Amino acid sequence: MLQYFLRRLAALVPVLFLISIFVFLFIHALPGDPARLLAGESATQEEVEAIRKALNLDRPLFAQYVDFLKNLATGNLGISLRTGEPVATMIGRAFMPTFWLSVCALAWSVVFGLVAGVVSAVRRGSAGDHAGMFLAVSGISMPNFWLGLLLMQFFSVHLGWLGTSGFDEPSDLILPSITLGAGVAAVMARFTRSAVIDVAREDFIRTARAKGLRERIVIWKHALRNALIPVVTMAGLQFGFLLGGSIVVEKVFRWPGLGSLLLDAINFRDYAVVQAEIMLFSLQFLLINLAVDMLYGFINPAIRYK
Amino acid sequence: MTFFKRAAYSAALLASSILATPAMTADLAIAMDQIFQKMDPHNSNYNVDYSAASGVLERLIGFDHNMKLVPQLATSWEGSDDAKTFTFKLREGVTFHDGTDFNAAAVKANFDRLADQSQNLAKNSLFKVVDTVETPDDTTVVLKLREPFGAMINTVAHPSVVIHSPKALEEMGKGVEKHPVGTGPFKFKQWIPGERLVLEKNEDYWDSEWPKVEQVTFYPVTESSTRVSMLLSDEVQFIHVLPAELAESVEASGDYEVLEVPGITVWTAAMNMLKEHFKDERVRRAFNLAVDQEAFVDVVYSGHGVVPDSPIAPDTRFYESQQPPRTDIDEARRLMNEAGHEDGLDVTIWGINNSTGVRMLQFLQQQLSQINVRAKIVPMEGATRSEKVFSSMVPENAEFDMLLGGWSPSTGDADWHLRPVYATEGWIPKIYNMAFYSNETVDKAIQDALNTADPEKRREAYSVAQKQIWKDEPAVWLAIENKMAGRKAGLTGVFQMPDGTMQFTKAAYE
Repeated sequence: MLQYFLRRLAALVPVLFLISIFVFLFIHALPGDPARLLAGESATQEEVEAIRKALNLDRPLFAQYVDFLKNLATGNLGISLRTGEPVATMIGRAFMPTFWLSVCALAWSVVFGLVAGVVSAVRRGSAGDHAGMFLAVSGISMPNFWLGLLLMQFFSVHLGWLGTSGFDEPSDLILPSITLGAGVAAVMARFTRSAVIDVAREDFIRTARAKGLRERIVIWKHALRNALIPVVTMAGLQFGFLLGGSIVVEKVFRWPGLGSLLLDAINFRDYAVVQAEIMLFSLQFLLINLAVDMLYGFINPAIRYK
Repeated sequence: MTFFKRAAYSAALLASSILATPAMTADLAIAMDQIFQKMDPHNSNYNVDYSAASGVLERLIGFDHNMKLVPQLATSWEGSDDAKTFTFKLREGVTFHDGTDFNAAAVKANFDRLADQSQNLAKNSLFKVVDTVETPDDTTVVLKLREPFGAMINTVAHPSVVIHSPKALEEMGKGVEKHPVGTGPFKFKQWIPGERLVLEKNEDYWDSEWPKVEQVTFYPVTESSTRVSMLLSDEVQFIHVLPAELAESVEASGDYEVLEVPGITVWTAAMNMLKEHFKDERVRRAFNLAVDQEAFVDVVYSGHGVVPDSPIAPDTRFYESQQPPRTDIDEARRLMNEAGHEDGLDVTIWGINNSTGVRMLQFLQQQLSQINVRAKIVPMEGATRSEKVFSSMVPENAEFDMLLGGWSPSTGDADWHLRPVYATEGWIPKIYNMAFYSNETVDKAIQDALNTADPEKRREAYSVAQKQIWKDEPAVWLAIENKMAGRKAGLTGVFQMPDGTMQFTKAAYE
């Protein structure tokens, strides 16, 4: 199993290399001139040229790519065109806020999604099932910024219980993680429901019931455990998305995370920051995928790694 | 890997910041609509930077709330008749936050930095005309120019022309943009990029009456609804900018007020005069007659704006009102027919893709359809637009017929509106002349006004330029948007300026 793990880890390198090429090409193919954007709309051409020179943006594209790769290989993520700060510092600063937000959002939404999904599956067709799935569809379809502003208006402006935005204390996590998790909870609930319903049709469930096991054990131990594989895959995927930082939620809640950083970077065509962030997101995704694959073995001991 | 170390470090920082609770009494918190870039105005083109830095770094000359010149670190100033020599008398008894003295040598160090074009600073071009900076005595600075430049006083008042401590400049170089040291009523305390910027009271400020608040915290908040929520939940006492469509939600609650002043940004839809159809003045006339400016202000700014009656705004120095625009669809149709466009005309209009920008485009499209003009509107994302308009622009090949844009003269002087937008030297991509307008009378008048420092002579020259541009109509005149901000009742001395910056150094609670 360790061997399998290491082999998978090594296989990430060529994937990341390919991603680096795509990332570099895409961002440079976007229209937009960082020197002009930094200079501002009212800048004269002279001012723009001064900035272009100061930033070494006149070098050939290929040379810029080679620099980027060389830096990447040595763990140096480059310097932000916009702020002049090392990109690693900026990402380091933004990483933890997004990490905490993602963990909180995922934690409540997975628990909520699992319970709601199982309950809906067991009481299929009941009023509770319909109500749960109505909520889930609402959760999926409701725009994040609208839910966020609604919560902020009610809890911060109207009741004054929580701060509106920013990340100064742990309670600041509450509103953004509810907002961010709403969609995930809904997806999880629907996924769990259909997975449990599928498993409940299997023979071994009938056997379990036939041998007189209590319904609670049949559902929560036998059915749910077997339904978990698609659910865990889904949760992993969602976590990958969350760790990328939600641009909308972070913007509404003034969250100092990766999403805000990415938005500013794209608006200013801050190549170094965008490249580094997308590389980081890709790496996160690949690692989560790997972790999910390893988890399968624990959920279902019948799975072997070769 | 250093990355993880940094991540852990930032977590520790975060934990420590959670424990520290700010004192609330005489503090001021402000939410701004953009993120801060650089705390060195010499190297920034952004109003948010100018606004926040103005607490720490002062200029020789400032603007009052109407954009009139007021003394700051200079007590008086004058220009020679030939507009080549400008003399400033400096305030005495001023010290920088690092304890060094403010004097003529300090001003020279800053002016030399601005004049030295090899520094590649964003605002170096403002001082391109400066030849030498002389200091005949400790309290006098003399600017000698290469060529006459009548707008020099207003250039020195530009929000970017601040005075850094020469010691800080020497020790930190470009690093001053992360830690400014000046003479202002506030000292720089802390800046977490993208999160907050904190200034604290300068106990030794030269005007002992000020400042009256202990600490000022700026939050960059790009989402306007969030800014409003922060104001209404008393997390901040001032929000800059307040979008017109959210004004009502602030006004509805009596503890807050909406501040509104006419701006100096004039919005126009430039007509590309290199295109055959716009060379005909009857067509340009017809386009202006077809658009109802009053309705434009209502639709685009919910009524929070005014209709321009000159190429420049009333609060810009040397403004002179002209005949206000009128709407006459019949006359416009007649002119179009006369110009040979009985079958109508197809035009492409470029604009911006934010909600205000799209409203502008749609409104224009609808208005022009009344005179059988079929407009294809192209809203563009900011960076894409700036690339197409500035970086890859060849005037002769420009693909647009009309281009929406707004210009704000940050020196507050007619020169820095008329020259970039209407002089031949300003053709995009060089500056901002988006109509490729070129008129000898206008070019000459703009130059004449620069050849003298005599305000009356300059006024006459700008009068000529404004009349001619207004008659030639290189653009469809649209609107001057009001600058709006929200403020907690009882707070005074914090307000937004017509040029899009804001002032807070005289903040006080009643």
